[in-house]
Amino acid sequence: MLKAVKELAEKQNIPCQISLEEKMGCGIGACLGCAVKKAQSPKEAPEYYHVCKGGPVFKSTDVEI
Amino acid sequence: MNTKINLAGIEMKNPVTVASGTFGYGREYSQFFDLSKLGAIITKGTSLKPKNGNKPPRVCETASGMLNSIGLQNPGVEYFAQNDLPFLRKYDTKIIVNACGNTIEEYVELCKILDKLDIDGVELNLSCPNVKQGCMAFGNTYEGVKTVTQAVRKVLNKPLLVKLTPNVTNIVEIAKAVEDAGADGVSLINTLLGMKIDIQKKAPVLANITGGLSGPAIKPVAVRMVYQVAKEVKIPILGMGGIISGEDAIEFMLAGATAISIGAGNFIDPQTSIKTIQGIENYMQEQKIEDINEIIGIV
Ligand SMILES: Cc1cc2nc3c(=O)[nH]c(=O)nc-3n(C[C@H](O)[C@H](O)[C@H](O)COP(=O)(O)O)c2cc1C
Ligand code: FES
Repeated sequence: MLKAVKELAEKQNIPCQISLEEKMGCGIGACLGCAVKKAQSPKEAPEYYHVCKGGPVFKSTDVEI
Repeated sequence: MNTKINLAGIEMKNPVTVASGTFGYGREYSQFFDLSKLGAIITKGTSLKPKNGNKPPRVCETASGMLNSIGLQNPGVEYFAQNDLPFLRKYDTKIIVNACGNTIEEYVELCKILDKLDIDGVELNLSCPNVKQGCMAFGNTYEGVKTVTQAVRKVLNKPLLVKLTPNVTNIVEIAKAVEDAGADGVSLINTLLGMKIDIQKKAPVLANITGGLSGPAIKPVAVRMVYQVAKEVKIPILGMGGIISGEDAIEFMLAGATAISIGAGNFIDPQTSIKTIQGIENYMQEQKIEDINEIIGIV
């Protein structure tokens, strides 16, 4: 669902924020469990945000889901 | 009542530490309690260069435990030295850095840097099941453990603990390699390699397919390994695996651990470590134990 909304909004140039979920360990930014890939980060060495601390709401263009 | 212990040359106000990878570099938990109450803080596994970690999902819940495959995401030793160490040093507790690498050269380079930093000791991670090279590859055999530990010992004058994987046939033999190589102590245990399958998707839950099992589910395995190793090696043991209370901690100490770490327990309640310290003191009072050192390894 989020993926579809993200694609649609980006195609139409509509600003879009999405609220993500990921399985969590600590919920406070310590365990680095809840990773979500940063958009445009290199494929060989992908970089991550952490949903519990950096999110849960992200600009759709900031993340890759 | 005395709760002070000496772990491998590190004087601690109590035997309770927090396990590597479950406590970051302390900042997040400092919102919940005064970090100075801890015997020591063991940092997230730190490498020479920054690491981004594995693809998500990285964690999942299992019966009385969890699986993780974080992949040692960390900012690298330089960033740690500049940003996290000064923060941690504000607290009156011991700082032990969990060190990881892919090659012997990397371990040695890293430990040369760590030796110059204002830290109290190093816990060499020869046991992470979630990275392709290194770590557990060395931790699997007597020779591997001995070679890396010896190489690091040559460049590291600070107290050196070596953290072992339980995913081996004979833990006592591996622990002897640590002792023979001249390390000051041994940390037992890292996570047990496990796996979970999503039966709806008919696929592994973790992107890495396998992950390390931790939490109360692994406690009996950890207690058994601490007990077996304590009977055969002389260097002190930092025990961990499923500890969430003072009673659990006491069990490890009776089995032979000089100090203990709380790992996944921090996720259940950020104050688990503090409650564990309290629990140990309660037990000492009930049992009329004057000095916590009296009970180490008496079973
Ligand atoms: C999310 C997570 C991350 C971990 N990261 C590390 C690490 O970086 N280095 C390490 O030596 N052990 C790491 N471990 C293992 C723990 O330090 C500990 O050995 C293990 O989880 C068993 O203890 P527990 O059952 O109390 O969690 C990690 C464990 C978890 C759950
Ligand atoms: S759940 Fe631990 S960092 Fe987000």
